[in-house]
Amino acid sequence: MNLGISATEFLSQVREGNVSVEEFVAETIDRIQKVEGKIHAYLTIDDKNALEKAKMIDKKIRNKEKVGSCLGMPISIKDNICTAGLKTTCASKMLENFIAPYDATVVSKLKTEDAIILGKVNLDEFAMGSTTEFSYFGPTKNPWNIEYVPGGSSGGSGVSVSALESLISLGSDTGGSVRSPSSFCSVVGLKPTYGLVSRYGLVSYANSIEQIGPVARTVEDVAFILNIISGLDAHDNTTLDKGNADYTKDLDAGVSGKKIGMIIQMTGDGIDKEVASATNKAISKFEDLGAECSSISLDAVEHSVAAYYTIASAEASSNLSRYDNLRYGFDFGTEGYEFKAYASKVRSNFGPEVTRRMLLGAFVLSTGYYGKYYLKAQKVRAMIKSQLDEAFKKVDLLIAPTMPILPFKIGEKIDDPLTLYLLDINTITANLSGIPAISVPFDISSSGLPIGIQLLANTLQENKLLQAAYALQQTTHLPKVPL
Amino acid sequence: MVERKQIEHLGNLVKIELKDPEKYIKQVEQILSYFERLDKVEFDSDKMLRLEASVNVLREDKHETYADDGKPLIEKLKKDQNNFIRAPKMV
Repeated sequence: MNLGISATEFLSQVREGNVSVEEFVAETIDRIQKVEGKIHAYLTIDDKNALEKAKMIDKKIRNKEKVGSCLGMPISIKDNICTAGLKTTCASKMLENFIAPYDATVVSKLKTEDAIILGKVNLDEFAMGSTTEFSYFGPTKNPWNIEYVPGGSSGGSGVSVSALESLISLGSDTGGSVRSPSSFCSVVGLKPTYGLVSRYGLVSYANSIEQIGPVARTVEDVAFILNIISGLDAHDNTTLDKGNADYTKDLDAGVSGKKIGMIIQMTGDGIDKEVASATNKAISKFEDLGAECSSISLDAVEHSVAAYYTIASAEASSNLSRYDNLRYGFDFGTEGYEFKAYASKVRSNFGPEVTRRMLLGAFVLSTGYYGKYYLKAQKVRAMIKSQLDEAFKKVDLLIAPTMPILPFKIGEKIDDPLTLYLLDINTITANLSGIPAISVPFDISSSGLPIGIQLLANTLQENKLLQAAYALQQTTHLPKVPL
Repeated sequence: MVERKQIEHLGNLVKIELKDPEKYIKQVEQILSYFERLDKVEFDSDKMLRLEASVNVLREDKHETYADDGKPLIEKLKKDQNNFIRAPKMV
C-alpha cells in the first residue's frame, strides 16, 4: 500500500473502495512503529482507539450510512492542542501528566468530520523554539537527514506528515512554527489569518499572534482541512466570520495577471546561496505562468525580530505564570513549603528556552523599561501592518524564502538563542500583522535538504494565497522522502 | 550590563528558582542588547498607533454549568485526602 498519497487521494481511494480505512490506519501505525525510533515525531500514539474508530467508519461506509467528510483520515495533533482523554504535555515536564477535560474546537470539528486522531506530536516546549530541540522529551529529527533539525516549533507535525506517519497534522504558528518545519521537511504548511481558526483549546503562549494551522503534503489538502477548522467559534471571541468561503474552490485558477512582490529585506544578506537561487527560480516560474513579479521594500521587517521577541516574551511570561503545579502537573509534594518557595521550586522545571523567554518578558514589562521595549515593539508592529497595507495596494501577493538557511545539524545552534531568533526573520511578519502565509516545498539542495518558498497575502485572502501556492506546487517534481 | 542580582530579581518576578543564573546572564544580556534597536526606530506618529486602538470584544458574562457537574474536570485533578487539593502554606 502506498502511504505517500495525499489526503485528497486517500478520500477518493476510500470512496472508490480501493482501500479500507482500517487497512490504511493499520499500515500507518506499522509505519510509525518502524520509523519512530529514528525520528521521534510522536509523544503519544493512540493506536487502539484509532483502529477501533477506523473499523467503525468502514462499517458505516459499508452500510451506506452518513460519514463525515474526512472518511477516517489519520491525523496527528501538535501536543499543545487539547484532546479530551489524551495527554497534552506541551513537551514540558510541567504538564507531563496533563489530560485535558475537553477537545480544542479544531479537534472537535475534525472528529465531527470523522477524522481519526492518531496521536500527539512533538514540539519545542510550549511552542517556544524553531528546531524542536527544546522538547523535554528529546528532539524530533528530520526524515530527510536524521542528523538535522526538522524546524519548529511544530517539528512533530512537519515530520509526521513528511515521514508518512500521518496524512495531515495540525500545528500552531506563533512566529513561523508551522511554516518552518514545513519548509525543512518538504511539506505544505499554512498560517491562516489571525482569527480565521479558533484558538480555543490551544495552550496559550502569545495570544495576540498565534494561530493553529494545517500541515499537509499538498496545497489541496491544506485547503480541505482549512474548510473544516476555520470559522466563528463562541469560545474564542477573536474568531472571524469567514462567510461562505470555500478554500478548495478554483484552486487551479492560476496566477496569470497577478502581481507578486519579492520582499527585499527577506532575500538579502544572510540568505543561503541555494535558498536564494531557489527563490529566484520560483519567481521565474511565476513569471512563466503569467504573473508580474517585482521587488518590494518593507523596511520595518528589519526591526521585526526585536519587536516579535519582545511581544512574544511579554505574553509568554504572563501566560505561563499560571503553572503552579497544584491542581495538575507532575508529582511533587507540597509538604514543608511556603507557597512562593514551592512555586519557584516546581517552576524551575521549565526548560531553558521557556525560562529565558519568561525572564526576558519580565524584563521588558518592568517599570522603567516598558516604554523602551514593549511600547516600541507595539509601534513597530503597527508600522509593519501599515507598510503591508501599502504593499498590498500595489501587489496581490508577496514572496520570500520561508527560512533563510537550509536545515542545520541538531545541537549546532542550541546554545545560541539570538542566532536562532534571527532565523525567524522571514516568518514573523505574518504573525505580527495577522496576515496569512504559506510555505510550499519547492526544491532540494545539493546536500539533499528541502527548501520551501513562502507566499503571503493580505488579511483573509486565503483563496488567492492557496491558488498561487497551488500554481507553484504544480511546477515542482520533488523526490520522495528518503526514509 | 545585566548583573547577577538583576537576573535573580527577574527569576523572583517569574517565580523560578534559577539553577544556573550565570548561564542566563550572558544570553539575556545579548538578547536585550539586540532589542536596543527598538529604541532607535523613528516613527511617523499618527499611523503607528492604530493597532493600539483595537477594541476588546467580550462575550456576555453568562453562567454556564459544566457537563456532568464538572466530573470530567475534577477527575483530572491531583487529589490528596478526601478529594481535596493539597496546597503549600500561605504565609
